[in-house]
Amino acid sequence: MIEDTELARLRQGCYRVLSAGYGRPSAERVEQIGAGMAALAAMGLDSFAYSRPLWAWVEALQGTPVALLATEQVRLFGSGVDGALVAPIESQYLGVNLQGDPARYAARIEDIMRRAGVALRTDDRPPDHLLVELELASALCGSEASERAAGGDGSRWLEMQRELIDVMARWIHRFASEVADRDNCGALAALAAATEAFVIHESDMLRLLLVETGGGSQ
Amino acid sequence: MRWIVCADRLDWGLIGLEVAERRGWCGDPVVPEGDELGFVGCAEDLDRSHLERRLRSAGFDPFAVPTVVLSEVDRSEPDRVRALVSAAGARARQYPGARPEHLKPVMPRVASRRSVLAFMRPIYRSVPHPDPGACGAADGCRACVDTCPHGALEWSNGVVTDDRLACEGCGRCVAVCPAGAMIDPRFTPSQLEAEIGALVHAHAAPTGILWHCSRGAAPDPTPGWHGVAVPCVGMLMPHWIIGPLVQGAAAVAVAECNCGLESDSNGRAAAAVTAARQWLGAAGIGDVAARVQGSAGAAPLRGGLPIRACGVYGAHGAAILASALGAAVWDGDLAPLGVISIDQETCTGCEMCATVCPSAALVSVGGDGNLELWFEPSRCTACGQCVDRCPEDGAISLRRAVDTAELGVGRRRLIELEVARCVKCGGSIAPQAALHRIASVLGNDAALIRQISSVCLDCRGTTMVF
Repeated sequence: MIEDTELARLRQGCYRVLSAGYGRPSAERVEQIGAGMAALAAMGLDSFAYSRPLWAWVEALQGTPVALLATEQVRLFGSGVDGALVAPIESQYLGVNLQGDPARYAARIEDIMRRAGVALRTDDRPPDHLLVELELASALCGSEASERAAGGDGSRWLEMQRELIDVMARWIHRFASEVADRDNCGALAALAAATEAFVIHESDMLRLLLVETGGGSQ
Repeated sequence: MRWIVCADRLDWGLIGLEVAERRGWCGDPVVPEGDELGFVGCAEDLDRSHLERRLRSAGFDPFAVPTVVLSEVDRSEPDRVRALVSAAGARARQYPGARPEHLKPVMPRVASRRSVLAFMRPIYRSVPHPDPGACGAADGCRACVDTCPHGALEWSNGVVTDDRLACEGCGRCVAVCPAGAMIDPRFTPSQLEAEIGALVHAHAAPTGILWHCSRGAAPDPTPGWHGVAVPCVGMLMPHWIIGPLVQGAAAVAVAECNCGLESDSNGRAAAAVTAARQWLGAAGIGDVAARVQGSAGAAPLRGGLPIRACGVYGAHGAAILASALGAAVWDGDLAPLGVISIDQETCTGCEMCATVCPSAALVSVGGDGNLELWFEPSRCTACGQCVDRCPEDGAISLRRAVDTAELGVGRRRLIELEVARCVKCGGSIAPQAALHRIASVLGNDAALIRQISSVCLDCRGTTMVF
């Protein structure tokens, strides 16, 4: 059995660990990710199907030299849209053909952030960057967990998560496929595959949770 | 493959398989490290969802690991245990792997004193998902969408999207997909073929195969018969029912479905059984009733058919089976093959039928000043997409039939249409028949009709015909 609060904390942790994978690589970060996974395992991660791709990523990450990982990360994800071979940015997949679409997707994320009471600390990345979206989802799960711990049903936060994840689920497969085709070190392909598995699972999980809280229909 | 087996209820020394015996394993399924593992447990003691979690913790894909659950009847026959173990191993070796889109989480809600909500730990069911590389949705095919009884599939802008939570895994979309693009990783054609082959060849005596639904309770074992699970018996097509016979089985039957998830499953299965008998009868198989039985053990098992074929559960399995069974003409609503004909007067050569055909049975070929539509009967799965999408009433018709004479003729030209030439560049405009059709729609706008009929798209902006 898994309590609703524990489940929200577990999901929060998964988002957090994955978002760390898209940050600047360092030996310390790799170590933190390993420790994070150990903590998630203690929370019951292995009950879920996405645990296998997550563990496969961590294994690949720990077996890849940090310098190679850093080079590969800049080559694939770049420091901005112009330099990225596979930009982990939502509007790059969903809306580049329509005028104003990149702004529309960024505005969608900013709107969720505003409603959730969170803000971007820096302008390094656009709001619809995968790392930002994962961090935001993590924050929403955290709020859900807090509300559940206080006796609420967390449905407000679940609705916001669903807004975020349903759109992510539409482009994450294409992103993961492109990373798999182009990654030379294996760790980033494994990261993208883990992200895909988790996001797709989340799109189903959120619907299940919303039905249970009376806030949605299957 | 290394087999870890429960040693509580069975004397494995009598079975004659190389296995690692573990006392009490069913109650506490410890998963060791290593590859190529399989497990044998007891129906009475083994908690499959608990085992799945243990497997995942140990880094295994639970769907990839063969797990045989033995009943009391199974344990009473060493031959039967050997057959089940070898069939599970054969099936596991054909497992293609599951993508995230193939997994449907199920988390029943439970009462908890500590929290408002609590859930059972998830179990996962496999659900079909289209392989975008093989799917014909981009060209307009929606055979899977049309057949789904739960509204779980949707066609939009050339893409089939699936709703995993709405999907009940009945497998009908897998069976009807003309391109073999709809994949349920636990029930692929090669897995079924491997499992049935192993079951049949494990016994010297004649063996019967009992198709049954994977979602309900498995039927009680019958001596001489082995159950083979499919997503649901409502998905079975006539060539699937006959399939085990050309793999060496002596007889086939379909177990009544008790899952209750689709009300028409048993009716569909009964219709498919009738159709299979009609096909066998048309092919001159004399003892049809003994071969396709109403239930397992309804008649004594005799030797298998002297006919062998492989690949009968795939997208083109019906044509393979038709060739193996020999000369037959059988027309029926469930016939898994089709013969297309085109009305020379009505067809405008718009090529919609060839575009949408997901199995490339109909293709259009542009020749020198003409357009031809060619048909290959062995590729036609009678999906009817060409008829559904044809914009001209009565221009194309489908005869659902297994007709080996038609298969013998092979690829043939159905229609040849003259193509109008551009007066400026000499390039193709469209088939004359299509232009006549356009003219009939436009009515009395003679200038426009002349313009459209005389100048190709490329030259239309710079050339006027008066």
